[in-house]
Amino acid sequence: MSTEAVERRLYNALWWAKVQSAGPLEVDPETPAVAGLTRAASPDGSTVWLVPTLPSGAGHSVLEELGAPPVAVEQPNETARLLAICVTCCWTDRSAPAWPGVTGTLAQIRSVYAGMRGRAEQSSDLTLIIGSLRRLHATHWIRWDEKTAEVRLGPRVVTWTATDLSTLRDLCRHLPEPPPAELSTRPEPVERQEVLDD
Amino acid sequence: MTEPHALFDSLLQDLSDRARDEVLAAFSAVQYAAHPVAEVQLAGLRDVTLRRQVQRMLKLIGRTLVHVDGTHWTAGYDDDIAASLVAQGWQPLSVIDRAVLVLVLVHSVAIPRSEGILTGDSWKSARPTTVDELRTTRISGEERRLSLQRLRAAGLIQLSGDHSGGPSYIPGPQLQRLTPAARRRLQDQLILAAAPASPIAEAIRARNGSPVVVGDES
Repeated sequence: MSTEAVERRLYNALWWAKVQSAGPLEVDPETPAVAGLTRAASPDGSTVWLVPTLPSGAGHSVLEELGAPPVAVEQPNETARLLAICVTCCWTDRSAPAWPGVTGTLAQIRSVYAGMRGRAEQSSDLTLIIGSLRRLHATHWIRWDEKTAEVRLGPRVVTWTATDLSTLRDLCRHLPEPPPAELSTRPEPVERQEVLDD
Repeated sequence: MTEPHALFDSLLQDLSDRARDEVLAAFSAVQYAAHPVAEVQLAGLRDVTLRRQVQRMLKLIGRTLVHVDGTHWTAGYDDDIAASLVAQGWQPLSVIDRAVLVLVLVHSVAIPRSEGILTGDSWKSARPTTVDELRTTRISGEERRLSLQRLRAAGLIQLSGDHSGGPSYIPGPQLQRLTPAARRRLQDQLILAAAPASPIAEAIRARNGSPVVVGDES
């Protein structure tokens, strides 16, 4: 193998090791491509996320049939429910890909949550909601900002296939419609967005 | 018909459909299952030729097969890749998360091992670390609670089955992904931190060929 090929393999392996240990990574758009890591431009285009992809027939989907479960998610039902709510709040143009979507708010999430439960909000709901949002943020399914109480979909959603999106579209149709988002800041001004990201 | 994959296709394209399926199933099992998987369970691990393909796939992403108890397999970071990342200062865990994890490892593994209760070099243990043992003036209760949540989600610690004295923790399944060299490094680092003046710490420093600054975050 040529020196160049060896260096290329090492470069790929190091980036893969990084995304496996820390989850999808936000890098400078000038960062050279890494084989097998797909690139998702951040909403303001100033950075890109590197997200691992696997060949079909590999990944978590095959674990169930092998009877070898992955690391358990705590409160799996609540967490899945909150992911569905974030999708319905942040993926408003359902003819477009889910990434990057739009900013949703905690008020929207609480409203849809109460609607799903079919009852008025209870005091314990917020604890469950925040716990699930933190779990989903830690695993990069969403980007949850505690300070502004706003949420966006996370970079891992770029790996959703057309079939996944079709299923999610159906799911969104069955969820209560979120109220309009009242954002703490205007969504677009770039300098403001960068301050919030710190 | 399967879509090509930019990294793995060069390895997979020469395999028959069946071999490809077996290799991908074994790759997925060692990479993503919470616990090591039994060799007898998967053709991709039983068959030496297929297992070599799994190892090649792992190598491409900085990982390697790790044999557990002689009968099971999992995957962990390749030692050379881990060394390169450490040299680059790569550290995905916050200092608080590392501190809490180390406290669990000290109480659940290092102390029982020094007492002769645990043998071998595994970081698996049934000796629970209680919340009282995790209390320290350096980490607030709220920080500790959030850290425990993150470490549990990452599989680095898990709740022990013993709830007699409130929640308690044992090392998580991810610790079984450590290669033999990584297990030894972790043991050495704990000895250097806990007993820096001991003869065994001196021997570790001599073996590593350079003085190690205790408490150095790098």
